[in-house]
Amino acid sequence: MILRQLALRQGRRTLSAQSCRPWRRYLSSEVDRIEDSLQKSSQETHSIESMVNAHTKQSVPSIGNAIDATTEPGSMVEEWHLYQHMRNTIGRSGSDIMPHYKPHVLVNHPPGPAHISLELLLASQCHLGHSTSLWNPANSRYIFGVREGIHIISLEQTAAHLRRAAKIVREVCLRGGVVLFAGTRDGHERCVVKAAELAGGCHLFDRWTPGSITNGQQLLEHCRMKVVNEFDEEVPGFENQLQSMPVIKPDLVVCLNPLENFVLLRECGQNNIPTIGIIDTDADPSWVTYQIPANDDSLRSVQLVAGVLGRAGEEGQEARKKAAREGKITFRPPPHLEQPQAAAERPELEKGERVDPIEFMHGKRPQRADGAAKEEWGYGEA
Amino acid sequence: MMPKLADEQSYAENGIPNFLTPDAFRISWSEYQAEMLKEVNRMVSNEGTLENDSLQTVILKSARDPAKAALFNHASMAWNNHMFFKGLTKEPVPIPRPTSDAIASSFGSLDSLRSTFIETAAAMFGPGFVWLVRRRGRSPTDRHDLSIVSTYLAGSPLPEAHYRRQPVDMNTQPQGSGAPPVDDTERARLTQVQNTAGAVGPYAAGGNAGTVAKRPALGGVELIPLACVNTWEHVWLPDWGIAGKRWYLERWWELIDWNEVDRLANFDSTKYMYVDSRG
Repeated sequence: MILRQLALRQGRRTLSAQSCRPWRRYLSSEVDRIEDSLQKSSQETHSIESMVNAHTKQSVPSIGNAIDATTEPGSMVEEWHLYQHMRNTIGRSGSDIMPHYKPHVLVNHPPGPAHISLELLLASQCHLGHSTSLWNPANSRYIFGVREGIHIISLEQTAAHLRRAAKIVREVCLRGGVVLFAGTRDGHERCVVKAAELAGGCHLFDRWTPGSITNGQQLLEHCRMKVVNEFDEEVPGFENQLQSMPVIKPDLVVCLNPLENFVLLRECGQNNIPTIGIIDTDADPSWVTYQIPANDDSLRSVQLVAGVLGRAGEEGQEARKKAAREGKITFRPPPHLEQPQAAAERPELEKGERVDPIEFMHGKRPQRADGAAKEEWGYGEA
Repeated sequence: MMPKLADEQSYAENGIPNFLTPDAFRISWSEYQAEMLKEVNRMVSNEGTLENDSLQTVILKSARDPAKAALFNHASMAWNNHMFFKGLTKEPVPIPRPTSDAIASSFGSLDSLRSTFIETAAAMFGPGFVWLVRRRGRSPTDRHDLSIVSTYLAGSPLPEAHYRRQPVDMNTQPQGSGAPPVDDTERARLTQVQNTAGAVGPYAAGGNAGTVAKRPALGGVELIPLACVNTWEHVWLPDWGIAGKRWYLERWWELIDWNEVDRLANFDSTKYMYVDSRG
């Protein structure tokens, strides 16, 4: 009897699952996943029950009923939508809540460059510098004054520099550049990851391994590289060329705590990589290319800056993709990258022969065993 | 912060026609709501966790804590009062089709609903609210389940508020104030089903039998408040007088915003509240 009811119940569920579900799918996939897992677990429970009942004289009371009642196909999705509907209509009754600071919103849904205002910067504590005895006089141009023994950073300067930095990030991302967001203090992880996600770049929240740029060939040789087209789709056929490609360096580095990342910033300077950094009153402004005078000790201030720059990168990525859809390519491929057909026409490297990537980059090309001239290979002068 | 009413400006200047004069509106909304919210803000400022939460969150979190009874009272009163004034309209509104179908299936007719509503409110001795709510259907075929719920004083119809619904006048209950307290076994004997003989099937009350009917879906919504009438004396006393409660209720009935009721209830039969999966 139980088995018959089981089959019937499952049959109905399967049928109605097909009819009720499809149009809701696109609305809440996470709720459907929870529902699916609940359904699976209730089915497992039933199968165990039926197995036990087959072997014993006394039947096990079915505990699946309660679960069934709650997981009719589509019902949990419906419940969730009803809950949301109630929250949006009745849940706001009674009083209007004044706009206030929500920490998770600042990290997960940061404001963009258009939302920069002095009020926002003030509320995020960006103006609070360090004790006056600890200042770096090179920062005097950014300081508004002194209060309670600390320097107050001029928020007009902060706003202007932040807007400039946002424009730089946007333009780099528009041209397909790789931005590295680096923030190595406690609490920087989430905002750094989010900013990198928005800008399509890379993040760093642990210690910078010294030499990752200057000695990148050693430290990062195992990192996979890929060639993508203007739609960010991977293009096959470049495997041979990628083997001899030098390791990628970032095109722009955003550092949220320059005081602790001198090595990173120095490596960037040595490799002509522009840097953006949050410069507090005790930091050295010459360590970065583009300074953002702001408080680097307050998490709220740092999350705001990271969020704004992340949003700027997102705008650049969107503009790049839009241009790609219209047929405009906004970037130039690396100079030593060739189309796979051209590469195929060239004689292959002999077995065991390896080209040194740095020399390749500097123009040295593989020679044939008989020392044939370079022109036959189709290369220009190095 | 004070919530906004759609017609607040005109209500403040001209009152609600044939219902509340500008003075009465000022007393029962402008000043009263501000006072309730001021008290809520004051009480909430002592505990940081609730400071920026919505009023509904404040209500549900303080409902079952006896130490926060005052906070619950003021917050619930503010919420109920806003629901009352939100559900008013200046001119009579025709009832949308889904709502009138639901009324017909739950109450039989509109007149029946009207008389039930007004009688319930008139019979309440003491201040409170009377609500039209939409409940979870008790069976797959029971799609539209409207009912009337009354809450004394500042009771809340929201199910999560539990015993702070205050649906009955406690002075008429044996367990209310003044009666000698009973111990737990006696209370259980008085309140819970003792004998499940004859309780057959998943929809019967008592014991294990009522598993389907009783359990809600995970995180599900049990009840949606649709409209309410405020029977606190300070609302109707200035304009309608000591003997005017019934007149006030009858006039209120004409001013129910049925469009708002329909919007809150969300009667689209392919979604929400009950999915007929066996169909």
